[in-house]
Amino acid sequence: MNKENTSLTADKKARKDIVSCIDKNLFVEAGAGSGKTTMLVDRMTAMVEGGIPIEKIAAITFTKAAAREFYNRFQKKLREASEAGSERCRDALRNIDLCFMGTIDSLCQQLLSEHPAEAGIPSGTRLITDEEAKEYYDYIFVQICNGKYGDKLARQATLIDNLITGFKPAFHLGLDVIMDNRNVDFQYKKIADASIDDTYAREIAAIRRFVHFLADNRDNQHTDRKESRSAWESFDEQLKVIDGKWEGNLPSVENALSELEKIHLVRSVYDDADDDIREKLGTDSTQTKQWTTIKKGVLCGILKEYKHDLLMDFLVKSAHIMETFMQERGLLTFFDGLYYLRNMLRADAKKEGKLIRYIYSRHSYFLVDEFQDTNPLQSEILFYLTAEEPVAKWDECTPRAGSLFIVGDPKQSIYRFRGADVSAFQRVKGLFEAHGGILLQLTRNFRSNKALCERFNNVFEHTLQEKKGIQSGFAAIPLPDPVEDDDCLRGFYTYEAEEDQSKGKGKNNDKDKDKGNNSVSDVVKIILKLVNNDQYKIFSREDKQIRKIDFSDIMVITNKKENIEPIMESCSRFNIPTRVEGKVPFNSTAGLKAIADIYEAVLSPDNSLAVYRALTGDIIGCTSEMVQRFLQGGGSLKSGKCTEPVSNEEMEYVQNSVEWLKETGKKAASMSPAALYSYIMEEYRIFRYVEPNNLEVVYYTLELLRHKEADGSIISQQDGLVYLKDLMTKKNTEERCLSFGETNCVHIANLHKVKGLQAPIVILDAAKATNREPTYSIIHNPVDDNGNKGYIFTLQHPHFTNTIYSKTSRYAAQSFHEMEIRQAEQDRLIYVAATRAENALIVGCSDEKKLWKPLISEDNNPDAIDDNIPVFPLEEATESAVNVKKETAEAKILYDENSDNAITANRAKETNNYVEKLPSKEKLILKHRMEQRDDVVELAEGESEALEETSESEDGKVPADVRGTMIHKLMEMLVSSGGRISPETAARDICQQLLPAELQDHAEKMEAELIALGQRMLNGGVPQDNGVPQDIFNTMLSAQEVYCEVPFQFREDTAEGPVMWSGVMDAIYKTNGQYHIIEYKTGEETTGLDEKYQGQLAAYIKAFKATTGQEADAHTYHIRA
Amino acid sequence: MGETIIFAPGANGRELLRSLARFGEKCFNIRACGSAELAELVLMRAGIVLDKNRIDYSGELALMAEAVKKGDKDKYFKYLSYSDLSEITKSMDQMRMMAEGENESELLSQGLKKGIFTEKNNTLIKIYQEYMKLLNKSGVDLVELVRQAAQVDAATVQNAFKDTRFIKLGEYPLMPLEEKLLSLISGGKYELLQLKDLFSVERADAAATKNTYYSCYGAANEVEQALEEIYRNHNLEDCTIAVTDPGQMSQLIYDYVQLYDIPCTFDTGVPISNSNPARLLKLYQTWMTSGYYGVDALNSLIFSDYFDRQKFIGEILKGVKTEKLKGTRLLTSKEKLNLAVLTEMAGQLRLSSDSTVNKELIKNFKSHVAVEKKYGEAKDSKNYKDWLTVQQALPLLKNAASELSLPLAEFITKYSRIRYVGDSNGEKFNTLLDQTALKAICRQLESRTAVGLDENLGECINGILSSRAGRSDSQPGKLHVTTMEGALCTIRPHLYILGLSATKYPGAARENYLLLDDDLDNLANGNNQGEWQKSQGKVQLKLDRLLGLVDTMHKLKGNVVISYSAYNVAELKKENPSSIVYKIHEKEQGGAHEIPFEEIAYFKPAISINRGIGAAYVGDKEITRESNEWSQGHSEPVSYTLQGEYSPSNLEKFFKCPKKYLFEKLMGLEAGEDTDAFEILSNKDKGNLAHKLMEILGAYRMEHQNQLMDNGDFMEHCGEIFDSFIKSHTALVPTQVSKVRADFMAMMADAYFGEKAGTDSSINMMEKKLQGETPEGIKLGGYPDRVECQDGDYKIVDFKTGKADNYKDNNVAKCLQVMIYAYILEQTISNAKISGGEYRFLAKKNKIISCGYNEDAKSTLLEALSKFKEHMEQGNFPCEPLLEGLKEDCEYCGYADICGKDNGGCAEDE
Ligand code: SF4
Repeated sequence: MNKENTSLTADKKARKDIVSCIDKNLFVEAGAGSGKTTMLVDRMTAMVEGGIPIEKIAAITFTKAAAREFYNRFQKKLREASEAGSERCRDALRNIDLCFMGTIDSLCQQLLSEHPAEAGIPSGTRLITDEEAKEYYDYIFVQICNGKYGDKLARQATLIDNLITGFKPAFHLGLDVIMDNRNVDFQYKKIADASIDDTYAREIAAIRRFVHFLADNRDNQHTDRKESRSAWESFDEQLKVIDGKWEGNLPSVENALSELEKIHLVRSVYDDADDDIREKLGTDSTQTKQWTTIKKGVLCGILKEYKHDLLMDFLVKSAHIMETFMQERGLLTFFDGLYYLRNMLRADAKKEGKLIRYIYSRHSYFLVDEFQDTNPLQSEILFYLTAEEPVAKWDECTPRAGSLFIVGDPKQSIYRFRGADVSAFQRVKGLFEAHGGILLQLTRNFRSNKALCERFNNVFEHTLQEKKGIQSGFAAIPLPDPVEDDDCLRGFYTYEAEEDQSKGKGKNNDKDKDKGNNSVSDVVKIILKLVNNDQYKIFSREDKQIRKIDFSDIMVITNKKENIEPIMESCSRFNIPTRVEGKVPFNSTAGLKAIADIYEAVLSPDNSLAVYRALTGDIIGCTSEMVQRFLQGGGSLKSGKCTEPVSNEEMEYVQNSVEWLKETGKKAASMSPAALYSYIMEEYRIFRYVEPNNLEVVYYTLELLRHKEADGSIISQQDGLVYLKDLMTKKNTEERCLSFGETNCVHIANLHKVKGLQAPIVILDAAKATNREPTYSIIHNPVDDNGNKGYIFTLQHPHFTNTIYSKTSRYAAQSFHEMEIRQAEQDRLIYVAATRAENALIVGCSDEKKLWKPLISEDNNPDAIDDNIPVFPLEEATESAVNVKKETAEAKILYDENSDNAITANRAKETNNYVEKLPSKEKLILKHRMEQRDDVVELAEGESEALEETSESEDGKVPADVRGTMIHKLMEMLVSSGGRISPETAARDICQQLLPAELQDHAEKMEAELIALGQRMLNGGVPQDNGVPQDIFNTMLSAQEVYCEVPFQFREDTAEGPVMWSGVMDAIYKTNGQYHIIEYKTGEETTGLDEKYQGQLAAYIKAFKATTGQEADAHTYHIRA
Repeated sequence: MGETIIFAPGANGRELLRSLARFGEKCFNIRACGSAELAELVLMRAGIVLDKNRIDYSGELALMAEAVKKGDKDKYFKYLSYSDLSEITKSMDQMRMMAEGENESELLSQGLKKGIFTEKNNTLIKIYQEYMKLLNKSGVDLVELVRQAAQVDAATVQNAFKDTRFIKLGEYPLMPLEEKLLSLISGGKYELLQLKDLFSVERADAAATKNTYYSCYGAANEVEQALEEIYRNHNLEDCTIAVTDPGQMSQLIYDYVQLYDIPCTFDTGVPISNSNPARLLKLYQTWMTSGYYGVDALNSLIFSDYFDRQKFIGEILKGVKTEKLKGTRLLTSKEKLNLAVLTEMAGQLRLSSDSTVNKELIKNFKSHVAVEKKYGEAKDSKNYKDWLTVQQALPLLKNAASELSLPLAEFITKYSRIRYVGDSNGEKFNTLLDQTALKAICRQLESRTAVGLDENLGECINGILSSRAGRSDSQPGKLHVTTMEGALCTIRPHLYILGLSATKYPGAARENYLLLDDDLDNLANGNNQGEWQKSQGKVQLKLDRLLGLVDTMHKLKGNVVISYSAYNVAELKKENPSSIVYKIHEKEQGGAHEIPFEEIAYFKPAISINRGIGAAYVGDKEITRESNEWSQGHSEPVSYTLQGEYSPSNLEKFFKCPKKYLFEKLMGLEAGEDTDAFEILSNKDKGNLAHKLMEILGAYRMEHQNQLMDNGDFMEHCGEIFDSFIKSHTALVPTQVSKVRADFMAMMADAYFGEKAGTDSSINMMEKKLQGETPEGIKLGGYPDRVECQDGDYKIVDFKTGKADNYKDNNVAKCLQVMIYAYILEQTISNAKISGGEYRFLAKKNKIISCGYNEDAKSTLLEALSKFKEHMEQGNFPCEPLLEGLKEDCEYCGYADICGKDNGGCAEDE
């Protein structure tokens, strides 16, 4: 059996096992295009059918998008199964929300939020972005330097500050690495109390020995160079410094050492020196020169190391501080989620594993996708969570049978910079095997056609060979049957890429760039040739037929974000529609700039530059000269006013425009940042004058603003402005944008973003293979989990690579190893890129740009291109190649039409068709506040009106409404308790409950008043002038029925529309079959109240009738002592 | 007649009654009660007065904080946060509500002790015990109130409620204690109804409708679609919008309310961040955190629209005699306080929110003033005004310091600008919003301070900023926005449910970390009353409530429109509809069917007027634009006649880039500068200090027959002046001052030796104004650093603390300033021989670049100056330097984006 056949058999078995062995743990390596999501869904469905409760299943995906895709497919599958009669699937479908489907990060968040105290964090944690974390770095930096975390550390900071230029940026860079790898032990030489003399005693002695050797050779100085001469002149000074104590004197020591490094000696010194000395002397001496030098860095090197160590020490300590700081505040990064969860589980495993078992009782079956890209902490978490018998060492935990199902493709592991690690993948695979799990391989590729697969087999068997800790091997893809004709475009092609015209750096670069922009990129030539051309056809699997090629059949893959823009520009010149993965052209979107300019002018009317910018932008359209004339004529851009009368149309236009901006500014005061953005778009009808190119970017920006508003990071309009500006000045990390409908577009994507994508034709844009020196390395030690080691080799400016803040040469071996690992990852990136293609892959290559070369080189000669691979011909493109004739629409008309028929142009729907009527405003508004407990501040009923006229206490009296409320309450208590509550008790309680805190001074007086009133009411009441029984209390008590504080609400349909009546009647009682409504009054007037409150009383009578169907009379009762 | 009590804890009773009435129910003596309300009623009718203070939620929190301190000795809650505290409080209430038997304490400990997590549960028990002790001393809280009510004498209370009909709603399950209360007062005779059963009348004016389903493109699209439909077909007051994500959705709807002035009430409230007080609070937070009390952050705070500046100015001027400020920069030309000058000083000083720190800072400033006074400034010197400003600023700064260090709540209350303007719906709402927000902020600050958690203020502000304000009940004539729960009470004929995507509703089953499902089982003690409180039960409850709501709508023949974002446009991700949508549809159709989702395109709803453009764009049409009539023509150059004096430094600016000169000097467009909070001594300040010291050095020579000041004395001056500067410009990281100081001192030490080397010449004048004129009538004037004289030859000396790159020996263009001075000097001192001018670069160890002044130089100079005149008059301001060899650094130029020079943004690449 050949390799492919073996592979096929294995594949078939694997697919069967995945759905049948639900009681086993499986570890599946699934190649690109092997349909792993389908297998995951199938397994989950099989589990459900096998009786596993859906709420115990957790599917962990790498991205949120994958989780949603997953949810869809699972739901669909369950529906199908339930339609086919599966009861269990029907149940599961109903409870699908109880099944966890999400990323490991959201699982961590959930588990941590369910057990925060065990994880050592507060509840209510908040996920923060890297940007936000950096703000805290600064904050902590200041605190540390200012001694908040101890004098010792502050002193260390001062020392570093004196030694290193760029302490703060170095701090940021270093902390970034360390904070996200806190499970790693970073290596550096620990400095006892930061004293260099003790820590480096041996090295310093060696230097001193060397310097004394120089001293002994004073006579052999070689002084034909100025530098050397002046260094020798000050030699004794330097010697003294070096012989002295270094600690506390480092800047001078550094100065001395670097001076000494400039020294030249006559050549014979070298010849006579011993090996130790010779090591430090320049190699030039061995040649013809008459002198010997001191090797660069041999003296200063030690200080460099010292600085690095000092800084590392500081960073590690600062990371601890930062950790606690964030912990206290409940701020979590993605890493923290994993880290705290792992720590929590480990601590629990060390004890009895109660927590682990508890969590297991809820989440018992884990299915993990894209395992190769996950942080190694994820494996630890999974092993703890599923452990049969949890123990402290995660790799000694045996997962319960059937609880783990892991899918991944080590060949697609491309996120080392985010913590993914092939060695960790291999390790888990080993553990699976050791614990009785089953290893499976899915090798079939359903995506690419036979021609491609054949070539893949050829190439990747060479480039992807198993190497422990570095590379996982490639298993041959079983070849699918060919489905297309020979005439179709299929398999591999290559094209000879143009070399870069711009070489070297410097000013000329710009011009060359321009030239590059005007020339047609190779990719465009290919696209123009392929699309809509009878010569090139593909077999479409969707349509199951051979057809011409569309734009949307093509995907271009670049290896860097920066390369996307030139291709896009080139495409747009030839009307090739594009859709980009990896870069959003905020800075070249005219509409966005136009909005942002006006936005700024509107917010900062005092900023004349901003106003000028808006005036001279496309929308307002003033020329600079117009503005100048306005200014000369005494105009001001700030006030919009002119000291002299506006003399012409031009000036008037400028003035009006400034006025317009100011008006907009006034409106802006009521708007959120996003609303203002929309408002400007509408008010200025921006696309009347501005090209709507990249319209999706304009709207995406609006959505981003809304989003940022929702997450609280943008609050004021100023924040919004800053955000807009940042977006346009490349300070954004947005990589994808809205797309309005999946129109017929060429898809352009950056290599790191292509996972999960595919296209019939993939063009790999020629690129150079670069391999920068790594700045740090993390090695996840396979032996014990405390043994993870980290090495920071250098801290340097991310762009200006010449600006190095700190560097060590101590870990050369690790640096080399890291290079090797990165190289292996590079090979995998090529695999990922190539396997996106369904029908054909077109690979760009040249002598200089040979990133993709491994794909098209000969088997046994990687330097040569395989002749069998057809060369795709590149011809000069012509504009007419793609003929797109578009319908036109006039912007002005579009605006006019749409403003006329905008829904809000018609306000008829806003009329009140019902009216709310409250017969009395006096209500117990202070009651029941105890139940308010959510995050929303509520207005009590009626309070919105009350706010405007809040009653203030006049001349030290209790305000009438408060007093009234209290008296009403008194009556209610007396009556509804049937006299069981005494006036004294009631009064005390009322004062306690209803008298606002600021009026508590009046409590005593008020209480006395209430008692008096109460007693009066109990003892016969007060005379009324309206025939209401004076002894109302006893009348009510002996009535047939009595009700207090009776709410009512009903609708009355009148000719003018419905009226909603609502209110509260103070009391109702029934005597002799007749209902009486009583309205208590407590004001100063005592007589004629029934007349005065006639309306209110009538309303009550009406209400009573309407709601109960009964008649009643209604009167006031004035309460007084 | 009787009365009816609907016991529905958590429901909005007012809204519920309103809904009943609106659908024709005649509501008389019906109360929809929560627990506290019912309990109070029961106690009152039973004749019981508790005679104890009612403790509200924030009171509970404060008690709980103390209880945790006492009860959690082993620090189970390692980082006790405010949110922990509220969680503990809520959970404590919850478990107490579960203990419906006689002995609460006993029941709880028994239940908790059975739990798996003993450490947690033991802690909870201890905290509980402490809390109860504290509570007993201070009053009754909600649970206690209910408990008391549930313990009254059955006969008495049943008699008091003998005519009462009791209703419990399926949508509002009760806690065991509440259940007990209800059973007690009703004698077990209460009705269990569904929400829909409350409505007896069917809607007369409507035909049976079916649900409508929209799949939208983003949340804004959902809102727009709903608004379009409402405006097209219904009256606003007949519609309720229920949202699953009140934070996000209320913000969006609020935005539309503001944009299109839509009358609307928000039961959800809107994010408090839309209010002026909250925005002020945020600026305050930035000022004290990432703004490090610096100038920029202080200016953003003080000069924002949200800050009441007039009030602030009033406070600042209290007790200050304004006459004294005359002649300083602290007054504007109209003799008003120039607040910007003051805030700049305050920011440099880093006046903070801490009064103790401020005291120290003011003390520093005082000593700075003293040092400044000692060195003085001559009245005719160019720095006199600045100097005088420093001399007079102290009382103002003192006042500013005390205002800035007001307690936060007081500060916000005092200085928030509440919006009272306008009659539009949006504006009126904003007034309400600002008022409630201010209240809320103060209440929260108070409550958070009261619990004494020692919470970090920044985080506390974050907490406040994430809340909402401006909540109100529904009103006639207005659209009503509410939550899913709120929608149960506000029933109107048309219901729009927005945001029904799987990620938002019903959401994942999440356990309460304090009372795990297991604990709830134990506390429920065998009965299944705990079910709906458990993680999965809560999800179920959400689903049931929504189904109940839809049922009610159907009964009333109302419209239900359900939408979800099939695509989340902000996160660029596809979304699935919530599974509840399937259930609703299944129920409506009686069996599983595909849901007939209508897809709503992004530009479909007829709300914005830009949508036509959008639709055309999406439809792949070419959009033809108008050309702006103004931007065509109107560009004849503008001529500038020469006016007044031109200083050598401005002229140099002109020659380096005439365009920049036009913008900056002629048009007065101000390009802002970036500041770095960490910078201790800016280049500009460094230059000023060095100049000042060189003046001192020079003055000494002038007074002492060209004798040099003693080195030690000079260095002392240097130290004193540097230190004094730092006292008025507080360093963010004081420990970093020493390095800067050392560098500065080293530079000045070099300067001293440079001065020493130059003592063969004498100083003729210093910082004195020179004036002159060219034959063409260009007036010139300025202050050269020095004029020195050696053997009768005069030379101009200019000190520089920056780089020497742009200067060159004997090159008039690259020594332009000193050459112009030489020219003026020639006119000032008759018959003097002017040898030339030189730049001394202090930071470059006194490197000297000089240029001889001779006829050649003079004619080059005059030629250049006439070029200046010519360009000005012709209005010709190109982007290139007008003298060969000069160059302007476009990289740091603030006009790069408007000058039109095709420089491709020099600042970007490496
Ligand atoms: S960017 Fe350069 S050319 Fe443009 S105004 Fe500034 S200095 Fe002049």
